[in-house]
Amino acid sequence: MSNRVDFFQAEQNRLALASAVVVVQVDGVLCPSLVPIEIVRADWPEFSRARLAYNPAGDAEVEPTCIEDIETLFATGRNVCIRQVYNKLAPAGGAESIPVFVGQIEGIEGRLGLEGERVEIIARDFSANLRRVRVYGRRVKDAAGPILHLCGDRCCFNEDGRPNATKSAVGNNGSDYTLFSLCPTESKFWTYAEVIDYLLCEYLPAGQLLRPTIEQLRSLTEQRTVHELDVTGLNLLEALQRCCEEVGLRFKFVPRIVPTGPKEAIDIYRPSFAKSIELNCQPKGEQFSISKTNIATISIKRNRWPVTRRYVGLGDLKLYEATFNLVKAWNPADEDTDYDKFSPKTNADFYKVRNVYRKWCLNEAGDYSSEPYNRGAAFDFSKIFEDDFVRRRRRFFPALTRDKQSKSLGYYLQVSYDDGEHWWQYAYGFDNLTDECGVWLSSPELDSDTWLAAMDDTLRFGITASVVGDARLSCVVADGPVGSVSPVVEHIISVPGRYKYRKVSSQSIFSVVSDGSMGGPDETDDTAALYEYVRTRAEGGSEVIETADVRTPYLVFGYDVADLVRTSPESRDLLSCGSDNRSIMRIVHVRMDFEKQCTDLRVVRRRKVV
Amino acid sequence: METKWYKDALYNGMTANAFKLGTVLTLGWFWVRVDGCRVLYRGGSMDSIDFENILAVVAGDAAEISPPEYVEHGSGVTYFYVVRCVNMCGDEEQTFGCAVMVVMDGGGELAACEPNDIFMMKAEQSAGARVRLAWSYFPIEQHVEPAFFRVYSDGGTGDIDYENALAAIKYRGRGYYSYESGTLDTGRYLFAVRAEDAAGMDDGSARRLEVTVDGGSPPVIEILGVEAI
Repeated sequence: MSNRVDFFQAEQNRLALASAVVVVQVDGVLCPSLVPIEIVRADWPEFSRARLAYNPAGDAEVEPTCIEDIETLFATGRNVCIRQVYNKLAPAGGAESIPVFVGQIEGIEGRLGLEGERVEIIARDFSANLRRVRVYGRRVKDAAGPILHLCGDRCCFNEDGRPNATKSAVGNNGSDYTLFSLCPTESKFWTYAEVIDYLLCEYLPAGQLLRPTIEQLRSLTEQRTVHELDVTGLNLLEALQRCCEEVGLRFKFVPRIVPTGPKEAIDIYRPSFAKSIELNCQPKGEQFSISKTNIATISIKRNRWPVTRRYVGLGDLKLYEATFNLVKAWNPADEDTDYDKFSPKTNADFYKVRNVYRKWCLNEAGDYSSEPYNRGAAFDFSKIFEDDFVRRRRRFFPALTRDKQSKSLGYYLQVSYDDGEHWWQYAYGFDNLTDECGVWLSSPELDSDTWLAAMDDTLRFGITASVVGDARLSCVVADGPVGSVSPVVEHIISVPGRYKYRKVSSQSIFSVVSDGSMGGPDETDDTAALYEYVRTRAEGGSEVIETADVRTPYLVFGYDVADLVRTSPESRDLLSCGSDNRSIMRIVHVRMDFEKQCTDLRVVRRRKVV
Repeated sequence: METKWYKDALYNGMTANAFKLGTVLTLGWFWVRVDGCRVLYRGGSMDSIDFENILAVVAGDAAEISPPEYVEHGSGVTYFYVVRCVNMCGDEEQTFGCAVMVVMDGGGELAACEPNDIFMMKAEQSAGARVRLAWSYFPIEQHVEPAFFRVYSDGGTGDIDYENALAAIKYRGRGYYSYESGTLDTGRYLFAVRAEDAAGMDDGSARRLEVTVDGGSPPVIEILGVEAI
């Protein structure tokens, strides 16, 4: 028996958490004099970058270079690759590496002070190259065969909402992609997949950047069609961002592990389909375990919630075609039987009676209902417009109905000389009024048929044209309950001119023509497209409920922007992942700090859009 | 987890695996090792472990496991052994956490350990028709620390002379190493670098780099005229 107690402690000669091991290559050659300080991973607008310090002590065989000569060693544009070293041959020992960051030197920062000389190299990913490319002109495929670049034309896809893409991909500079078409009959609408493909193929030489295939892009963009996208004057990065933003996509540049081919790839992704990572923190009182806790510090900022965001998308005003009967828009007291009085050729005071027998209006505002006109009640649009309207002045626009050559009939004015029993197209000149719905017969002298019918009071005019209603094309998307106790914040997304609604109403004489004598009407209904656009905007711009700045206890290379964040059931629910299943947590910024050997993450929580 | 013992006895009869696991006793209907067990597998690399054939089975609390006598070990051949736990229900873990590499020498003993291979070796011609080799060494899971890095060359003959090293670079720990040759004649040269421990055992790496030395400087370009095209 002994009352002595011996305490033994196992001999430990290794760190529990070894520091991360990386190597730096410049143009493929090991560069021991560069030491990484930080790597930042981000997408638009920052994108990824790395900061490296020049430390000549790392390369004992090379003489130190001073600030003014540093560019001779690390000229801008040289390729920089930071590789993580790992044991490939476990359980044996053997080093291998995978790229963590690939970019090029974009800047050098030097500082000469009390602490001596300090030089830092700034490397950025491929986004820096795209930022220097300007988008202008359009690559067209002429029907005759040659492929031309028209520098003066706008790079506008589906300009004015009309198709201007070639029907199939065309080979150009080693790539097959869709080009602009000059022939309207040989054109189709651009899809977002084709636009992204066009921008990448047209402005980037093949082999510099690995890009997704057109099939992958079609799948990502869900085959959505473009509604007039103009990217003229933007740089290539901005053009891609504008295109991706409209279909709810994001993109970033990632290093490729495969040694052959381009060193970087553009990764276009849908934020809701990303890999998941776990951020865990053990409950208080438990013994610390590095495998159960990867949160060293966390700072959380939570906004007021739950608040429902209601997004109201507003497109263009709705346009309807109809056939309207016009009323006399002149004072009956000015009527006379003297033919010469109503012609500017024969009457010097024609301006006093210029409207008599010549001005025919719709009376949509009731301007001609009272004395001295007495033309009846104001025109009622209720059979034409599908929404509420107010009584006010409008104007006629060209008809939507088109002839066989796909040209609008314009203002289709008809005249009846027998009080509406028979109608003919009015063959003489007239002006369309711009301050009210009406026409003014502009021929110097009224033709005899018109004059005689006017004298018999059997003259009637009707016009088939379009009128703009008071309602806009609209849709509503909400990210939470509306009409409940939670407050609702409305966001108006106004996109006039892009999403249109044009319809030939049943009140048009051409609404029932189906014998093939006319072309197809210029009708359109962008309701579904507007809904997709608003839903995409709502998803991308939904309000941030919570922002968390997380620091890991060790340097982690595997986290990336857009990664979805989860929490283990055994962990503290610091990020509310367990208590809120209607939101998603996503990493938006990653900063790997090599000096402090930790990784800083910015995580945001947003409501899912329903 | 995987319960592959079912198919051994019940569907395939009295297989070697079933005998080792003991499931032949119940004709494959029941799992008999209610205290769990540990099983041993082997393969030529970690990517090709033969998990279809169990080499040995020991009790769940055993601290040692040995392959059977009939399992041969070729001299100088590398084998990877993996031990996996099986629980009381016969479910087997699917990890590589317990693995070891074994190399036997000609005498049937464990071969002496070697330093790790060098890493990311590059070569470039430096000024004055010299060749500069650069490489890196990382002591990840190393069993023996190197003492030197020996640089070998073929001298332009095509066969690297591993008997006579050009230089021995002293090991300084994890990091970058480089070697610059003397002035070389124009031609193609092969270089190799091996890590060698204090006992003279090198890593046996067959990695080699080919460098073409161009003795002359590129011709000077003189612009004699300019014309619009």
